[in-house]
Amino acid sequence: MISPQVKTGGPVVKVQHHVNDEVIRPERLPNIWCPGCGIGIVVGAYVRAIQKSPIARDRQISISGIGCTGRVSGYLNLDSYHTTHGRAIAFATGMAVARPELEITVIAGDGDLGVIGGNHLIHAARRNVDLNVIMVNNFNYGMTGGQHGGTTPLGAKTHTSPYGNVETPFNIPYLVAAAGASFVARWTAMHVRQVTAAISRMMEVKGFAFMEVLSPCPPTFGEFNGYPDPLDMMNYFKDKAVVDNNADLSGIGVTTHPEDSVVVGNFVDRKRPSYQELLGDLRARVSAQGGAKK
Amino acid sequence: MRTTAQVAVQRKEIGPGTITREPINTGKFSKPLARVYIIPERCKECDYCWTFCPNDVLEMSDEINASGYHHPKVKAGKENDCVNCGMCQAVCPEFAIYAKEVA
Amino acid sequence: MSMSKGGMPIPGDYFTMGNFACVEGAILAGCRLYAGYPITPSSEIFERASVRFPQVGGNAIEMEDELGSMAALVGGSFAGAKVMTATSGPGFSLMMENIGLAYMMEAPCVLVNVQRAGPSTGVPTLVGQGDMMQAKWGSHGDLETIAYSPSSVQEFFDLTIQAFNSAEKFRTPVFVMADQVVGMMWEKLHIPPAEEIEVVDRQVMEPASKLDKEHPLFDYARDFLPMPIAGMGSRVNVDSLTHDSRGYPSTDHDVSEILNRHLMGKIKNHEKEIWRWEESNLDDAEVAVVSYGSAARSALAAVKNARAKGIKAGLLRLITPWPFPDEIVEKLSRKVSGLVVAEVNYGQMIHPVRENSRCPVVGANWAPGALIEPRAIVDAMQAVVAE
Ligand code: SF4
Ligand code: SF4
Ligand code: SF4
Repeated sequence: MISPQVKTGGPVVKVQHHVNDEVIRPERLPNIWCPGCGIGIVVGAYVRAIQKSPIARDRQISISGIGCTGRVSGYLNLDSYHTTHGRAIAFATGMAVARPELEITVIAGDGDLGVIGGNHLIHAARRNVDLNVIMVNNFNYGMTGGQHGGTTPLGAKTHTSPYGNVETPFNIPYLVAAAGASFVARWTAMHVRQVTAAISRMMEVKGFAFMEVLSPCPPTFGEFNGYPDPLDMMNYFKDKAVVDNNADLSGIGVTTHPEDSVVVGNFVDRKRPSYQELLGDLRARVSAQGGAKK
Repeated sequence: MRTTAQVAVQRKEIGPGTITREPINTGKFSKPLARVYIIPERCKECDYCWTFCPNDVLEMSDEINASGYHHPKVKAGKENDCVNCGMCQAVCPEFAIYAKEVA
Repeated sequence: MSMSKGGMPIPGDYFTMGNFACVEGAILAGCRLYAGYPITPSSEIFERASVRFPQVGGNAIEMEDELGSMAALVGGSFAGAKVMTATSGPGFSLMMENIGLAYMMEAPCVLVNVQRAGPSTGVPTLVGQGDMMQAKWGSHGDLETIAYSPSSVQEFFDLTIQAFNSAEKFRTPVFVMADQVVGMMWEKLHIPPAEEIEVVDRQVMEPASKLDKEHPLFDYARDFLPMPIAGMGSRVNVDSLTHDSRGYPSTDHDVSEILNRHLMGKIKNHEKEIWRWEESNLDDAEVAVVSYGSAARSALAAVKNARAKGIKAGLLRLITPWPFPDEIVEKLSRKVSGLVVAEVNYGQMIHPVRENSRCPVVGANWAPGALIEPRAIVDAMQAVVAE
C-alpha cells in the first residue's frame, strides 16, 4: 500500500521574482516610497487589474504627474509617462484624443490632481474624457517633506500649517461627480480588493472614471496628526470606513479625526457620451457632409 | 470543529449575537493550502502582511535585509494554515510577498 | 475662392490672411491635432483649425488654459500625432512649463506665437516682438530652441511647414515667432502641389520584442533617436526628470551631463543646416540693418530710403532667430562699419547680434503697438555710421 503524500505549506520560501513582476520594472525595486506608504498598495491593485483585463497590454498606458505618486509610472512595464506637476490629465487628454484606442490611466496625488492640476481635473470630468484617474490622497505634500494642500483636513498640522490648517479641504469625489464624471469612487489603501475591482470597472467605463484612494503617509502626515505608525492609518480605515454606494456626496468630506467615519464606495456609475466618442461623431458628421459646417 | 462564525466571534470580528449562515455542504469544499513566497530585499517591514493575514499565518522574522528591515516569515505551527486568500500580496506595498497553492 | 472645398488645401494662388495660411501649411505638413486656448491676435488660427482639422480627419480641441494645451500637445505627440498650438504673449508665458516638458521628453510639436504688444496683458490687438528672448530663455533650465520668424503671409505658410519638419527631425518643440501684423495681414499666398512640398516624419521606435536588450533604449551618443509611440509596444518610461539611457530618473552627474549635452547637441551640432536668413543689398553695404518678422518689412523700406539718400545700406533678415546664426552676423559685422538692429521691442535680438559683432551696433526700437517706421531706422543708420 502506498502511503498518501502529506501536503504541507511549509515555511516561507525566499525567491527572486514576484508573480506581478511581469507588469512592473522589478530592476527598479525597492521603490522610493516610505515604509507603509499606501501608494505601493495602489500600484499593486492597478497591476492586478491590468493582469485581469482583456485589454491588450500594449494598449495600457500609465501617466503620472509629480510628487510621491508621480513616481508610479516609472515602476510599470508599460508605455509610461512621468509628466509635469498637475498636468498629467491634460497630457493624457491630448494622447487620448489622438489615439482613442488606448486605455489610459492617470495615477497621481491629491496635490497634483486636486490642487495645482485642479482646473484640468474638473474640465476633463466635464468633457468626460475617457480616462481612468486614480488619485492617491495622502492629505499633504509628501515629496516635499509635508506641507498642507487642498485636501489637508481643517486643523491638521503640517510644516506649513504648524498651528493647524485653517483651510477647508476639498471633498474631491463630490467635486468630480458635480463636474460630470461617468464614474466616481472612493476607497482606502486598506480596501485593496475593492480598489482592484474599481480599477477593473474604470477600464470598462466609457468616459471619465475617477477614484480617490485614501492612503497612509506615516512620516509626513501621520507623524503630526496622530497616525505615526503605518498601521495607525490602516487601522483607522479598517475601523472607521463605512461603505455606502448611495451616499450623499455633499457630506463625505474626510476629517481624519479618530472618531469620524470615512465614507467609501462606488458612488457614481452612469452613462454619458465620452469626449472621444463625441469627437469621433463630429469627424464622421463633417466627413459625411463633405466638410460643410451645417 | 468550530464554525467560521464561532471563530469570528472569538476574534471579536463580529458580535456574539450576529446571525451568520454556514454552508450546509462544507464537505464538498476543500480548504486550499498554499505556500508563502517572499523577496526579502524588497520588504520594508511595514507590518501589513502579518497584521492583516486573516489566518494569522505570518509574523516578523529575526532576519534583516540589506536595508535593515525584518521581513515576514511563517509562524511556527502555522505551516499548513495559509489558505491562499491573497491578502498579504494585495496589502504589501512592495511586491515582496505572495502565496501560491501547493499542487 | 475656397482654398480647400472642405478637404486638403487645393494648390493655387489665393488672397488670404497670415493666420489662415498658417493653418493650411500645418495641414499640408501633416498636423492633425490642435490643442489651444483662444488669445488675440492668434485666435483665427484656432478658429480655422476648428473648421479645417475635422475636415481632414483631425481634431482641434480647446483646453482650459495654455498650461493644459501645451501638456496636451506633448501627450498627443507621444500618441504619434503631429501637433500644434497658437498663442500670444500671456499664453506663451503659461506654456513655458510644458515647453520644457516637450524639450525634455523630446516631443515634436509646433507653437505659433502671434506676438502682441507690451508686458502682461499689454495691448492684445497691436503688434509686438517682445517674446524673442523668451523663445530662447523662457523655460527654466538650459534649452536650445529652434524658432522661425515669418515676414509675410507666404512665409507664414512656408515656415509653418518647415517648423513641423524641423520638429519631427530634431524631436523638439519648434516656434513660429510671428506677430500681429503678419498674422492679420492679407496677402497673396501660393499653395504648391502637395508633391512639391517636403514633409518630414519622425523615426519611430520598434516594439520592445524587437529591441536589442543589450542596446541602450536611448543612445544619447546619437543626435537623432527614434521616438517611442504610445500603444506600439515599446514599453518605455518617458520622464520629465533627468533620465538615463533606459529612461529612468537619475541624479548621477554623468547621466545629467550626457542627457543635457544630447538635448542641446542635437540642435547645436546641426545649427548650420537650420539657419535661414535673407540678404538684401549687402554686397556693397557700408551699414546694415538686422531685422526679422514684420519689422523687417520696415527695415527693407528703410534700406531703400537710405540708398536714395546715398547711404550704402543693406538688410540681413533673420528667418531663424534661434539657433542664432552667429557666423553670418559676425561675417557681416567685419564688412560693414555699423549694424542697426530694428525690432518692435526695446532691444532683444540686439544682444546676440552685439555679442557676435566686430563693429558698432545700435538698436532701432519702438514698441508701443505699432511697426517701427523706416525713418527711425534710417536715423539709427546715420547714428551708427557716425560712431
Ligand atoms: S511621504 Fe508619504 S506619500 Fe510620500 S512616499 Fe512617504 S509615505 Fe508615501
Ligand atoms: S495568502 Fe492569506 S492566509 Fe496566506 S499568508 Fe497571505 S494573507 Fe495569510
Ligand atoms: S507587507 Fe510587504 S513590505 Fe510590509 S512587512 Fe510584509 S512583506 Fe514586508
